[in-house]
Amino acid sequence: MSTTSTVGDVQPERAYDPRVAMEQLAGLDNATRVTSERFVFAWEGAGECMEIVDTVYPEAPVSNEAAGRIATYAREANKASQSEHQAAVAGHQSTVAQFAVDGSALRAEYSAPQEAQTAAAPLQGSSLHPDVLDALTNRSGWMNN
Amino acid sequence: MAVLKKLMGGLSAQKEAQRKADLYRKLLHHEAKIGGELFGPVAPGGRREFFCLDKRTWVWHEEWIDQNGQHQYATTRYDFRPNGIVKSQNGQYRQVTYQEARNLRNAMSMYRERIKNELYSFVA
Repeated sequence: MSTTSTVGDVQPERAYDPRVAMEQLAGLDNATRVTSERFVFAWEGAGECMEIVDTVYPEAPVSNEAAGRIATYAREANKASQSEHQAAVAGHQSTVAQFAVDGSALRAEYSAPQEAQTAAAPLQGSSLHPDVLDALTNRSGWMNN
Repeated sequence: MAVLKKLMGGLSAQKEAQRKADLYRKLLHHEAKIGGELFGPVAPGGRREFFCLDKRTWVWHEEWIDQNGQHQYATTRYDFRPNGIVKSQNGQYRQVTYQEARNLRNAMSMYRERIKNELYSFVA
């Protein structure tokens, strides 16, 4: 099947008119012609059937009574949503409070050792040569050397 | 010679017509597959096809496995007439409900967009 058809130049995003595509079928190979014809057929068939539905079974306008019911449902749903939201917020706040307590406990437990370790860190595990290390820890002596 | 030429021409035309029919059937099959995807998932072991047979006729074919493990199928044909849609199933005819008509309309709208984008993009 050839795919070098010029029919592809028709921009489908614009108001699509399959007849325009049909007019450009001249000169195409048979397979492409059959494919195009089937597409136009299905496109137009769907369009015509949709028109019948819109005519015979139009989208029902919302009556005043139905509109009232919808408004009531919406209000109820909104209330339910608000209470769910409040419950969720309360739950979240409780979790946050719990986390804060846990966090302070954690900080109390670990802050001292962490500070101690941080202070000791520059001298521990250093790859510096022992002489240099000595010089750094005893700067004046190193300077004198 | 003229008879032979005529005969050959006839055979060639017949072959060409057969090729067109085969291609048309394949296209229809692809459309039916795309159409079958418009209505949600199909149960395991089942199959659904929905397609535009001609400009006023749509077909829904469904196959499924029933509670007894038996293979079942149903073909529903929707005939669009100026005064409404008639649905035929197992030889029985009846008017479609309002909701079914609206659902069909939505399905047809999606159908033509999907076949345009997924099947006929090079000619559309």
